[in-house]
Amino acid sequence: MSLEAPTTTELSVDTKKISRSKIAPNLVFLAPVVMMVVIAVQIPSVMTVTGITSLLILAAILGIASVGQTWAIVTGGIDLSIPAVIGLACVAVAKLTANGVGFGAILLLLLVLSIVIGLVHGILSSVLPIHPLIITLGTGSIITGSVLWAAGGRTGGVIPQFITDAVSPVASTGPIPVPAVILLWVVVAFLAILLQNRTAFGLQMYALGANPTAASYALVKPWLVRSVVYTLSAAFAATTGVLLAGFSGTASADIGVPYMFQTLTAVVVGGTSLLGGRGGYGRTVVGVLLTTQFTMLLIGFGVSSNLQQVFLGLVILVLIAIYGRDRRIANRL
Amino acid sequence: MKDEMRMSETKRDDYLVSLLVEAHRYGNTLAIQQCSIEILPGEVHGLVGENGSGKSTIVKLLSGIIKPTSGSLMVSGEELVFANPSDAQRHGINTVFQETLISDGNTAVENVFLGVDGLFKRAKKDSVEREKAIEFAERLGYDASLFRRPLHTMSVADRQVLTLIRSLARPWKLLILDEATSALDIQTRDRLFDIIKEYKHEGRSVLFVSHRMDELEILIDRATVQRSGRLIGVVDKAEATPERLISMMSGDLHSSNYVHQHAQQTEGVVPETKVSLRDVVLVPGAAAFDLDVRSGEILGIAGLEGQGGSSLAETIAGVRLPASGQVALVAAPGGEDRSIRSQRHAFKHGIAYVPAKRQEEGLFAPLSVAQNFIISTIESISMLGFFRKKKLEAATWVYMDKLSVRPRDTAVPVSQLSGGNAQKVLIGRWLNAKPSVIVLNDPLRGVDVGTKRQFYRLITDLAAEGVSVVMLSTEIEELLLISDRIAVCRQSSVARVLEGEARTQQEILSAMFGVLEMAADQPEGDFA
Amino acid sequence: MQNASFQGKKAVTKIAAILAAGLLLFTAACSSDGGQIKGAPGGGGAAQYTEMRPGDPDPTDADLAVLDELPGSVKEYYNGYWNSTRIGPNPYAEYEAPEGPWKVCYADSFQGNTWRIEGMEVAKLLVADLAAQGLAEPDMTVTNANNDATLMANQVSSLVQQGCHLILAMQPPSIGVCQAFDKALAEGVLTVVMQSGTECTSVIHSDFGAYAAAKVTADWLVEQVKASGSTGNVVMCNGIPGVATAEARQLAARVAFEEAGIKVEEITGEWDSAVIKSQMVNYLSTHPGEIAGVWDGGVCNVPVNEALAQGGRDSVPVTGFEGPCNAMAQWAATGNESISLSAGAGQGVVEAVKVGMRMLSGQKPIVNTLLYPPQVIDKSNFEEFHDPAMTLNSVCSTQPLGGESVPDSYYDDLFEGGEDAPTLSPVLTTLPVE
Repeated sequence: MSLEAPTTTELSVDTKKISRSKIAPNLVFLAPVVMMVVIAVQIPSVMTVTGITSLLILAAILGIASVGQTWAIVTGGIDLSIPAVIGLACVAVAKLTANGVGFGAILLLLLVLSIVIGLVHGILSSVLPIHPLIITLGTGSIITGSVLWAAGGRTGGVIPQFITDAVSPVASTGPIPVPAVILLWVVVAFLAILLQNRTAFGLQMYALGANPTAASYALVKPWLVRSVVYTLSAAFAATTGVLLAGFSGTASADIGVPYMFQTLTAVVVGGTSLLGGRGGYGRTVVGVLLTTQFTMLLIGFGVSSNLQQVFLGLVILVLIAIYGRDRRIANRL
Repeated sequence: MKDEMRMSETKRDDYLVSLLVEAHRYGNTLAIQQCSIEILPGEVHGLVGENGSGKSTIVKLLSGIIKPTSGSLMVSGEELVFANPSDAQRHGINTVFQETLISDGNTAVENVFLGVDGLFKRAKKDSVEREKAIEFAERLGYDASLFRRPLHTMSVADRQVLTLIRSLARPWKLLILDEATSALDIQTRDRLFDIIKEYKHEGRSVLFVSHRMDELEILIDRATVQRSGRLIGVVDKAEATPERLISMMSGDLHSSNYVHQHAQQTEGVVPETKVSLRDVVLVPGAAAFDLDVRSGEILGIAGLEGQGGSSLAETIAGVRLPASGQVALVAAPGGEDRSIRSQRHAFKHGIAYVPAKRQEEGLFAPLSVAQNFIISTIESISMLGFFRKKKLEAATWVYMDKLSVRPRDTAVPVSQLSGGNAQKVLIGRWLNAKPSVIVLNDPLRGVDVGTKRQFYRLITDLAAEGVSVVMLSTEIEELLLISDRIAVCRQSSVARVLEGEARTQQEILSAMFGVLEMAADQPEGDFA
Repeated sequence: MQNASFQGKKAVTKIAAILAAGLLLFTAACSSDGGQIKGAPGGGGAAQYTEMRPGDPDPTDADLAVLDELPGSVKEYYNGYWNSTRIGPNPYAEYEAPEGPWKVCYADSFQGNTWRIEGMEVAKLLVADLAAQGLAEPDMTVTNANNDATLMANQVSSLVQQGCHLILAMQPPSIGVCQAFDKALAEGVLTVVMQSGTECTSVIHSDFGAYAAAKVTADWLVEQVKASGSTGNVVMCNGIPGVATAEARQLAARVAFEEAGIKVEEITGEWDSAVIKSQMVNYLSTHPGEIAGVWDGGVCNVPVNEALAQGGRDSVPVTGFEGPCNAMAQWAATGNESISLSAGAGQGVVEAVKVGMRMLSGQKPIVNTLLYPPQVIDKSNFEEFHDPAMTLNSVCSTQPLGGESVPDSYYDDLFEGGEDAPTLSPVLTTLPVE
């Protein structure tokens, strides 16, 4: 019997195919472009400056609200207090402006509140063995209740005109002929992606979501990472609340309610795994654009709101099935 | 090739299982090609090869987890394609994997029969299940109390025993043990071998996948050797000496000379104490002991599973605090010793800890090799919290090269690396912190021989540079090979510290089992 | 003006009181399970009640029979009633009115917005007025169920035990609280449900006729469209799908437009200004065609006008519905004629208390549901409703002229027997504009 071994010691690997397999999971980033083409063909009227600007404004508001949700999910948690914080900020900006408080002071107050909310979420979910789902649901209820109590149920007030302009499709930002909210989203998205991909915090966030046990052995501080994540989540939710006040022209404590479902949809459609450790804000940007485009498409086709929900649900299920397959392939060894 | 001729001598029908694989791909990666494995009825067949040689692929093909890209499988002369693992089980092929697949949500008995029961209906009544499980538990040296213990409190060894019982208790013609003995203590392993021998006489077959040459030598009738995804050869019992197998696996005929005697290296250097343990009690009620960790030495930790070895390693690194006594960082002369308060505190003072179960406690499966590597030392390449990708790559490649991590790609998810390569990434993570003491908790479990050899060199080199290495291992030969001193744990305490001439297998075993005098002529395999 | 906001006084005592009350409620709820409920739901006169069928354009024979028997003076305002309420005999036929001073209680299903707060404040003012006349106890007990049907049922049961003579229930869920109301009836406590229909057969309902009111605004829009000669379609801005009063309003509008041969497209605003705005923005982007007008099913007027302006569209007639202050400001600022109703919560409470006072004075209603028309705000009387303090961000409601939607005499044909009810002083004008 021969003991002579084949001379190859390395597995034969086709490098071209490897690079193709790296492209496949990233095809999702092309989806909004494809969707835009579909819209352009089906509903050409959207392809006007106002039409595109309107689409981007709606996407920008949802996009800013979804930063925190994405990260909460990346760390293996979820943030159900986003609607409550949106309502808090919306009412606070209207009420306090009516009482003569300056906008800067309002933002400072909202930032302080966000830090408090973030610390409560981060510390409670790390110290107690309770899932953030329960904790954020509870704090959300407390926040909404407190807002209504503090405002005595009267949530009206005065909304500064520049906020209304920031979210108006016909407004421009200084010399730039684009509403401020779209520019804000671009900046937020850039910073968010930088933060998650190029900082120690970002890496620790992924590590915590991928394997909390290993994270603590690797000297990641779970409470600190979670506190930062939920603080930023609250801060972005508060920003959304302020923008929504301008967008709707009315302050209301439950103005954020649709954002529970919408932020989760955007995150899931983008392909961030609810198991944690996978995905990121870049994908959520895609999810935000897709869901916003899809809603516009359905309204364009005159689909009733009940059926819109059905279609959106179907899209989510189909995508989850696709991503599920994708992941099985990714974890093949 | 002669192998092919050999195949033609025996008809395929005569084999219990005959698997011929042209090629099998995972996505675009070719895992194995031109491989075959043929198992006779009533034989224990070894499957050996380094990590990445394609052993796991063969096992997965045989147990119905994957289907070959091209190739054929015959079981008792019948051409089959397994649709799923239960299909393989219906055809009498049961597999015990190295990863102990126990779901914590179920009771121990349910775990034994996981997959046999219907979704809503149990196949057999509880009491029948229980009796059968208890029978095997007793034969493996356990008793009924195993099934009453909450699963989350069970050690790796206990969990492995449960998976063994799970497979043994179901009808089978071929039992595949895929590194299933690496977590077992010697007694249990030997009992398992007795059971296997008994079944062998009944005409049942076992496919035995192991890195442990001693086990292979004791147990197998024939062995299939693979390297780099290809079949190298099939050898009979007479040919299957450790030296021969290792040379076939590694392609290096002189591989038996890799032994690196470290002990001589530190001669002449005065070792200074880095960490001192004084009157340390690991768990309430255990005996107190003293122990020093010295610079430039390799301190081995030996002991049966659950006898405090792992706790000792964790205590030295600050992961856990002792019930009483002091674990202190020894300061330079003139300074003051300081108690270790936590793993973080220990790390700040140069003590790194590499946890035991690399999948559960070490690695972040979806994250890239580079991310897994840098996670604990990210500050070293950061400016104001931000880091440059270039710096991350550079820092990672230093260790990719030093530890020869395969594949040569820092962007792949670490989950796609073999066990040995993943372990390299994990150790690299902590080496990058340039620790003065590194505590390795069972780092080489399930790692192939070639990689082990690299690790031995790495560890002895580290010691030569003055780093204190504390390493727990379940393999005595390994400890004998590289340690300067060996702390033997028993009943959650350090029973003996062996050094110099006292470091013999018998001394270690006697300390592990609490036997002071051992008969010199007792053969090692029958110990227990 | 803002003195109600962010009050911090006596917080600790309030929280302690709330906790104690919660504990009491809990024990009350548990112990009451053993008690026998006399007027079980569906029992007794339930068979004589019509069914509630939101969104059904066709009346049944039973529906028509009920309409037939109603006095001619009110018939018009009961049009399409089966969309939002059930009509049957007075469940309080055997009711013996207690002697005053009466204890009036207020059970709200939610108090999270200005509309709800206005209702509660008006009730407080009315009770204070009655107390001054020696007819009521000065303190009104208020409960807030935070949109939790079970909690509201417990709160109603608790109010019965506290000895309330009249429970004013603001927009309870259509089922889920019925058993608690049955128990109140059995204990001889009068319950008046305000501003919504329910499935319950043991309460008196007081509401404006949603179908009839919506028909008024839709008819106005039809006229506007016809006058402009526009060939575009009308956009209906709908409320929350499945909610009876929303479906009733929408059906009335749909029928009106259909009869006029005007094409209709619909968006779902869910009575949430942010949702309305985004739906309308999406609609405008995807529908470049001409819009003849927009019909408001609630809350839509201002966000729709904003979306039109920001989408670069010409202004078109946009109706209003419940007469919110911001729509008044919008109207005043642009000069674009609109139409609205004065349908805040305050006027609803006034009408409910009028019904309650008649029953406490021994009068018996001829049916369980008392519908009335809200005042219509149009070009002719706009200035009377508009207040310069109203802004585009205001969330208050306009109040009916004279303080009530209909004169007290409106109810004369709907009640029998008893003594004259006490007159109420007009309190609505004292509500703040903000």
